[in-house]
Amino acid sequence: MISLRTRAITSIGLLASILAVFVHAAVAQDNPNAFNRLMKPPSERNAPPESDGIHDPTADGTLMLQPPQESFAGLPKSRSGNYVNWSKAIENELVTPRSDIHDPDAQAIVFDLNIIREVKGSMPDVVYPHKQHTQWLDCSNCHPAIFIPMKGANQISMASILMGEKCGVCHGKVAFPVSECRRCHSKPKPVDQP
Amino acid sequence: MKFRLSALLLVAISGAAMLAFNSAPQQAQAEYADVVLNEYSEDAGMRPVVFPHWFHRIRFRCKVCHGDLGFEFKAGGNDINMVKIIDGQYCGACHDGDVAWSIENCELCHSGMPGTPTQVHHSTVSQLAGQQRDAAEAAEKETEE
Amino acid sequence: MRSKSRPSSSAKALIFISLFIAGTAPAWASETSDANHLANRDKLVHTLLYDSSAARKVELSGNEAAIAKRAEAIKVFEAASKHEYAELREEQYNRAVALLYEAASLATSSADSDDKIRRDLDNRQQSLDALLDAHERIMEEKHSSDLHAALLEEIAADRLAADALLAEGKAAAARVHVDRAYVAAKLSVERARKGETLLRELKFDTPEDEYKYELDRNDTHRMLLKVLLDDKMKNERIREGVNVHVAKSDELREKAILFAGNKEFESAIETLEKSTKELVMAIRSAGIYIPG
Repeated sequence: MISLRTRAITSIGLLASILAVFVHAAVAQDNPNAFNRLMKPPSERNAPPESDGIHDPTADGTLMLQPPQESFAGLPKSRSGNYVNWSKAIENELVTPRSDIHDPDAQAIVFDLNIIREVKGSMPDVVYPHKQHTQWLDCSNCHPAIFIPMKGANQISMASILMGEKCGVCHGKVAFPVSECRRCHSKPKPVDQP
Repeated sequence: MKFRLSALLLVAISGAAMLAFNSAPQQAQAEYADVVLNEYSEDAGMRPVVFPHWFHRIRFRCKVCHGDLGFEFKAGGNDINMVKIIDGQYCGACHDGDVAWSIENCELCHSGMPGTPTQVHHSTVSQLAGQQRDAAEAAEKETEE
Repeated sequence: MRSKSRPSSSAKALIFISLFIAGTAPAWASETSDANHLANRDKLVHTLLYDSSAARKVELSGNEAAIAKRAEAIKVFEAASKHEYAELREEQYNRAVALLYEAASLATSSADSDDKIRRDLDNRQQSLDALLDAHERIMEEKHSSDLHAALLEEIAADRLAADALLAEGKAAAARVHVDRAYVAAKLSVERARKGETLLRELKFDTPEDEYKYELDRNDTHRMLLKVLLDDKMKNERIREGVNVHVAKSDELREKAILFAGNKEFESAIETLEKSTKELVMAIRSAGIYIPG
């Protein structure tokens, strides 16, 4: 038999714990001296399918799916997107995706050509490496539908990228997002120039 | 006495944790680039499809689907249905019981949260569009008041 | 003594009950989850057999073999629903699904898939043409036009074969030849440009062009403000700090637009640059470093 008093104590404990959780959350947000003030809490990254908000946890299939954290454990980290540096992962052969559906040994044709695009002011110039792109993609993915393969033929603006055009067809959707400025704007201006 | 208190504390804490977990608003924390496809699914009485880009890019380079298989770079832009998949197009090119598991397993794909519209999860475009929508709704509220 | 031992025994009872529930829950839950799973499966297979695009396709095709296959699938399904053993039911469901897929395949005319094959071929053809244009320019630049002629010769047979097959409506067969030509062009471009670095300079023909560039840069930073600071703006302290800079930036941008209206582009550019700088500061004030 569980006495009334025991139940009362249990409920009070329960309430107190719930309150503590909420108070703690509120304090963390308002405290000017919060720990890791500028970082997204790791608990909000790479949620398993059943609690990621877009899978239905009551669907039989959901629990059969692989949780991303299990898969990403051995892969190089990055600060955004999947929190995985996919370029490094493929470069170091930590992932070895096929380049042909049926033939696991088919080699990708990697094209080593850099294009530097100057930009104004102290913003570093853009280096576009064909190499990292052709590790994943084929010429026909971009040429000519997204970029005409000719010097001066492509007007690219950051605003259009943010709206999902040009580089934004992939970056900001599946490839690293535009918040990682320096992965593209990677060539500093010479010191004597403004 | 000590034993009783610690037992109660245990019950209370685990209860609180469970409650907090269950009552937290379901904020979508799905993977970057997870695609939800709901052009036809819910109309046909099925849950939306969730396509995890991350899982597939570990196994195939982008060019295999977005080149060899002719997938457009646009969520919902490929007009995929079960007829085409059975015919070996799009997903059906691999999900044939040979390269990947075959499509008897409806719920491995049709596992989306009901009511989720077609989208690329966490995309910059949807982030910007969402904010414009929020701003428009806020402005509308203001004029109403 | 008594009063001390009583609460302790009730706590023991509590623990015992919790343990009992914890211990039995999985077995109990898994039985219902099996039942749930089969009920779900029943619903899903029913949807596939009766309401899916594949079911409609079969029904509307008028193809007798396909319709018969679907009828067979439905028969298997109905029998499965009544089956006593879960494992056998599951097996029968799978068989019903497979039969419906066979029916759908029978009902799919080759014309349905030809559309896509044709579209994919056109895309590949356009990429081949773009690569050939680029190849011609590269070889001219390198004074090696003979290499372009050589490439054209190498792929001539494949291009002819592709055209001939396409004229007969055999798009899938044509694709094989276009692909081969495409790979040859790709390899030749790759050989010619390997290891190079090309520079696309930034130059403006008119001050107005530069003004438009600055306007775009300003737009960009306004969008970045939304994308990068989405979460942070919920914090009042951060929001206040950001808004001071944004207000200054807005003011400067308005001024710049007035300058541009008077064709005073030099002043407009200078003012816009300052406006953009304020946006950079706004973003940094929220704790996100962006270069610029």
